[in-house]
Amino acid sequence: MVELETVLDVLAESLDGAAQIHQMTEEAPLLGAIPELDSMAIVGIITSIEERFGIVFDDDELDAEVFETVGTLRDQIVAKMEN
Amino acid sequence: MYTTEYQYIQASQKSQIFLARYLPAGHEASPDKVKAVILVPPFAEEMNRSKRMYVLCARLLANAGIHVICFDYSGTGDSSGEWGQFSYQDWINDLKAVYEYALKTTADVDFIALRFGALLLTDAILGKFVNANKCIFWDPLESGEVLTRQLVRMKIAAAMADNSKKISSQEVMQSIRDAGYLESAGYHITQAMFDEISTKKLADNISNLLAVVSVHWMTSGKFKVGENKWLANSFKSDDLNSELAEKSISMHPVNDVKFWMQQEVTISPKLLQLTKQVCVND
Repeated sequence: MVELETVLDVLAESLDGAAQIHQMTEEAPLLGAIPELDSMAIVGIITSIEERFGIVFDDDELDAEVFETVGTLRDQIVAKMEN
Repeated sequence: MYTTEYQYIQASQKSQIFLARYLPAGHEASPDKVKAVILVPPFAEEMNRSKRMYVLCARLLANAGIHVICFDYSGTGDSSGEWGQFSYQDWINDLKAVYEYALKTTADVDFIALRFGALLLTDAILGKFVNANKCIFWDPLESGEVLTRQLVRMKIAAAMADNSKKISSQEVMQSIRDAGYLESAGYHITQAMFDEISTKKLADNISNLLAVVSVHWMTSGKFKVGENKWLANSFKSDDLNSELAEKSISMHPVNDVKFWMQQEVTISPKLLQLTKQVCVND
């Protein structure tokens, strides 16, 4: 189980300037909706996820769909942890 | 109150290094009694995003009585030359030149290094290009491969963020081979620099490093009480932990943002205060 709050903590590390990260729900959109989510922030989030959850993404698994919403990002983490 | 001086020093035949010196009150009267701290820059875009923190750190330490020296690697910032003209070893030579400049006034020199800077500083110390009493690492890279992988991923992520066609890591690597460089955030990173950085290891050298210098390893992030996720991967092995317990390393979690990653200029007040405490009291 990956708590929503933990995912939001990871997002907050990389998106300090973005508004109200900790108010986000699972349906909250990410890519295209948060101006601060640039390529460096995306990579920072992926790296933080790998460190926190002890998983490693294959570079080619990185896809816009993963960053569609907070929920899709959490689903991807859960899927990697179950593999 | 500190004063600031800007100057150039000749690091090699092909480059002049830009220095910003932050001189504490009273430095002129007895410079040999004033400790010096050299701030070692990170890499590429992280360099831009950390400029403000470096200036604030320099001012804070200078006001606490320390002579602080900031510099730009050859081909970056206000130093002479262009990106791509210089190698990793050239940048180690830059650091050596800045260190020798600091030695003109004091033998007591410490270093603060962020990310890639920690990797380069480790090589400079182990290669005996510089001597240090103490190093403060801010979110150090445990290997160069972490950085080069990040650069490749940034190309993939940029395509995602622009809603462009998805590109694979193999395509990014092929484009580096074809062009001879990787363009990242406006920087042309040559294939030679990319390949060289990929081979660098801080984690593998940590025991050797601690044999000659004490290290304060500061990791920033949003941590919960009791959580140990901040601990660098290098220190998760019990064997290494018991070995390092005998040595001079202090690990510090800093519950604050990773400022070097933020699109907007961001500072980390907790990291600054901890750094000042370590520099002044330790």
